Amino acid sequence: MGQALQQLVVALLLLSACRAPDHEAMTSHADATLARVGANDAPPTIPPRTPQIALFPCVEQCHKDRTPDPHKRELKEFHSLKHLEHGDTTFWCNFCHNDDNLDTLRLLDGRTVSFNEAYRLCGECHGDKRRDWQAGIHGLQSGYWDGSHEKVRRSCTACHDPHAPRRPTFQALPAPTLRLKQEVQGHE
Amino acid sequence: MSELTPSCGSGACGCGQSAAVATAGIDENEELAAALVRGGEQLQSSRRAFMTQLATAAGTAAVAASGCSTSVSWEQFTQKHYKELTAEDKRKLIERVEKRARDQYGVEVEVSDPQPTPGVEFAYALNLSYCIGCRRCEYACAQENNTSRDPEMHYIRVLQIEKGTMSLEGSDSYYEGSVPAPDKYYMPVQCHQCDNPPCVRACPVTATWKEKDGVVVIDYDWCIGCRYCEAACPYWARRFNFAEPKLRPSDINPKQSLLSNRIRPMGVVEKCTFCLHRTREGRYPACLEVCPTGSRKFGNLLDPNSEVRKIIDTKRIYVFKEELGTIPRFYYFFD
Repeated sequence: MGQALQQLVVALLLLSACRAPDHEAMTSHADATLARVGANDAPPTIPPRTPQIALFPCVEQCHKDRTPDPHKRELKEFHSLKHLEHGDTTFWCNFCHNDDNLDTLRLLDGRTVSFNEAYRLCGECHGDKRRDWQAGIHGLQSGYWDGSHEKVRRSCTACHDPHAPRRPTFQALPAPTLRLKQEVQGHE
Repeated sequence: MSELTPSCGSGACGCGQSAAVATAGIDENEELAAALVRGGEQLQSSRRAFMTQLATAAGTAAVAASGCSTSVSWEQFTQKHYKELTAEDKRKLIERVEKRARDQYGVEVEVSDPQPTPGVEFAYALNLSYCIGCRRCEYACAQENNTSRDPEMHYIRVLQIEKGTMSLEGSDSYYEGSVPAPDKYYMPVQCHQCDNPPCVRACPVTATWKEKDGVVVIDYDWCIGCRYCEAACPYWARRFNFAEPKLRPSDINPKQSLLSNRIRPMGVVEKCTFCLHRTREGRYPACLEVCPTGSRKFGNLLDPNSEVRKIIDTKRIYVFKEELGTIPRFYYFFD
């Protein structure tokens, strides 16, 4: 019995010695306390989207006495300017918008979510992006990396137009003028 | 013999020490020559003693004599290396830096000296799949770090590269117009804060070193402007102040720190410090917050839950010029 225990202890010691050094090269001064490690577990703030939506709430503003028409057609009155460049040709309004309450969105399983939680809807198709976004490695974040103060994470629709999610082109800011400006002008 | 003041023609008014040695009239003064020889022998062991001897031989009045618009004060002339500064020395230095900003640029600035946090090593990750080369980061960096506007100095250089290649020779950092251009991708390059930094080894006066959180910093008062570090850097990350930095008072970011974004004098080298005056207080760097594509990610390499660690664990990483063995803290990734 005592021998078995001894063997077990030896085996455990061997095992612990075999463990690969974890990130040894880069942790030259790793402090045992690791003061801020894990500090950024606090959930980030996601600014609400509804204040950014023109004519929200939709029902109160326009859709009070209009019955939604689920058929695909050319929109002539409102929304006519919106190009639907999302989901190829298969999408129509009610694919994401909730016909029964246009102030909300509808998930694939029928549950409704607010516009402020649109990422739950987007993530149903774009699961890889949702996962990265939730890990903080997709999309724009600002504030504090260490969790000591607020970290702000933008919702999907803050950067992507859900009706045409491909990002538009930007105008590049000018390349820097490396020489003294008067000198450059003097040569012209 | 009373000419100890660095002359404007030497192009090194900002640093003082080396210029003083170079321009002293050795032939005319035996005593000074002897001091220089003695000092040269002791230079390695006791720079301070050398400076004292030199000063005794030449007389303090000579130092104060000024034929130069940016004459060096006695305090600045005898200032120690950053690492040897006592708390009192630092306080005086901060006062001087604040006074210089007031006198030269007419702005009230607040200079701090944040220190590395134990258990934190910074790392940066940049998504090459998303960067569109809009140069917002370049300008936010210049604004944050008080870099010269004329000549214009940017720590970040965005390379426009042909898709399907990794050719730096074929890259262009002076592209204009609407981005992303078809068939092009963009690769911003800035200081990689190497774990094995060639620039630090190149410096003949140890004016640059690696801090405990991995940031490679420069003592702007110790730098002699030889630019060896600039030549040693394989990432073209270091910039030299050929002229006195020109900044409008409205351009100046008043929240400054000694080792990062305080306004530099002419004749010293500077570079990206991962915005240590922000990041050591827990904030994100300025270039990250301005990026409209969210390509830039920053965090603690030692924290397994940090954003950079998740990227390193799950994405395809590209280490720029990995074969050089510089071990950068700056990772490019794709997704």
